Amino acid sequence: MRCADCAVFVHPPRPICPKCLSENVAPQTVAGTGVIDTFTVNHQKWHPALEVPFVIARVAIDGAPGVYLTTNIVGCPVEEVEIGDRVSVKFLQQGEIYLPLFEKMS
Amino acid sequence: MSASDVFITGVGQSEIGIKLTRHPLLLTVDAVREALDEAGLTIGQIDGVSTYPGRAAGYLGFSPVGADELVDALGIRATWYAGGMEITSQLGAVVAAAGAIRLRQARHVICYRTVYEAAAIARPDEYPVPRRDIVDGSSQWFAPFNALSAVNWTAQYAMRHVKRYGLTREQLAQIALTDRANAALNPRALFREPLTMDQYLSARMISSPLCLYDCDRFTDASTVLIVSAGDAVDEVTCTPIRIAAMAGSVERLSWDQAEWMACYPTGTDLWKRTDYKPADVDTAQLYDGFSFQAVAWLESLGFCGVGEGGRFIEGGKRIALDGELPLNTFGGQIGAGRLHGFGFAHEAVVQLRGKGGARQIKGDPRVAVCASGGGPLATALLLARD
Repeated sequence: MRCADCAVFVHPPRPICPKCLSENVAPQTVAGTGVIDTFTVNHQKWHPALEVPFVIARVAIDGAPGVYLTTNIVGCPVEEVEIGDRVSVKFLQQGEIYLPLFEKMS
Repeated sequence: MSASDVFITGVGQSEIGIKLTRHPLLLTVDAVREALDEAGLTIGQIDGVSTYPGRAAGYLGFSPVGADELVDALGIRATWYAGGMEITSQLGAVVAAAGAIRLRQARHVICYRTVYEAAAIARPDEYPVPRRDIVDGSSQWFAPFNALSAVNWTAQYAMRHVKRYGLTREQLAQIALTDRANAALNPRALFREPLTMDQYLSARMISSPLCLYDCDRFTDASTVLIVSAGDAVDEVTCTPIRIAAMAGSVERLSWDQAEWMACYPTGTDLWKRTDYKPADVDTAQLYDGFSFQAVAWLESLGFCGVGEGGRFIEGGKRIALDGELPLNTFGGQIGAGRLHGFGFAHEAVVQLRGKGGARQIKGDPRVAVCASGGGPLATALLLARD
């Protein structure tokens, strides 16, 4: 979400802007691209069906200062992920929910 | 000592184990009894109770004993009590008690943390965990991506240190190696066998750069600290340990929106509230549920610069029991068990009283720092024996 009065991004969504306390906040389209701020390669099988290893990353969204998404980096071997890599969103539909996963941009 | 000062007097601890069958309320009472005995207090002199996080109804292993249950079970006539998770991590319960005491709401407060996570997982019929198909709250931003454990979140902080400052596995290993060497000297510790560098380096990775030995494990235990008013310490028989400074902070609790870890501003604030300096500290007891948190705390508290934590602990001599800054002398959570924050304050008091037995540090320690949390939540206490 974004504040219509002071343009600050609000994430996770809340009905008030944390900077100017305006309640004039609304969903905002963002770029769908970003940069890997940090990451980890998870090796632990937290449940039997979980396929490992996989990358959990924190992605800084382009054009939305201060907004980060915890996500997975898919479509490349885990050892090819680095901090600073540019990534773009790839939605995964799960029932009625679309999960924003990311893959490296070539 | 002045009447406005606040002290930790009696400290106590139950047995520390895995899949214990003793009822968690009774483990708590075991720790209370030991603390009362040490302080020479009776339950009738206790007028406050403080805990983190209170009874966790949906996850009883994490916190099986509420403050009201302890009040009821022991017939405590409390004029003040509190328990809650929305506080600056586990030792925030001690800060709350100290604040209440200074405001004359109570004179002797039992602060406790009881964990029963190993037993609860082993006995799901007694300690059920509700399962849901759809998550909400803060979990919705992590669980769908299988970022299911705090290790995944902490590992991402650690990875920035690896990439930005060159933290190596050999350096990070010194937390686990130091913990296990110290735990071997602590009769109550969960792991009594030392760990070698080879064992550490060949351990399986959990969430890079954190391997198996960078993580504590679920434990059953209770730890108690009695916090007492300055004008009530003449009632106790043990050496009172003064709380010289306290600090805490909360970053954005969602973990992934935080710019950095909460331990950094907390460490800076602690030194603004005292005339002591980091060089005055005789021992540090710093949260290490994941090893990297102790590295971050060392930096936060000014024992070394930001990014220098890896080099500070390299080789392990500096933080060893006979080093210049003995760290986590009871074994930390990685060696002694996941006491969840309270073990660090307990050990700081033990060391300042010279009661560490085989693990007692040399000299005449007078100042100790202890800390809990470190990620989105952080609390640090500076303790002194006057």
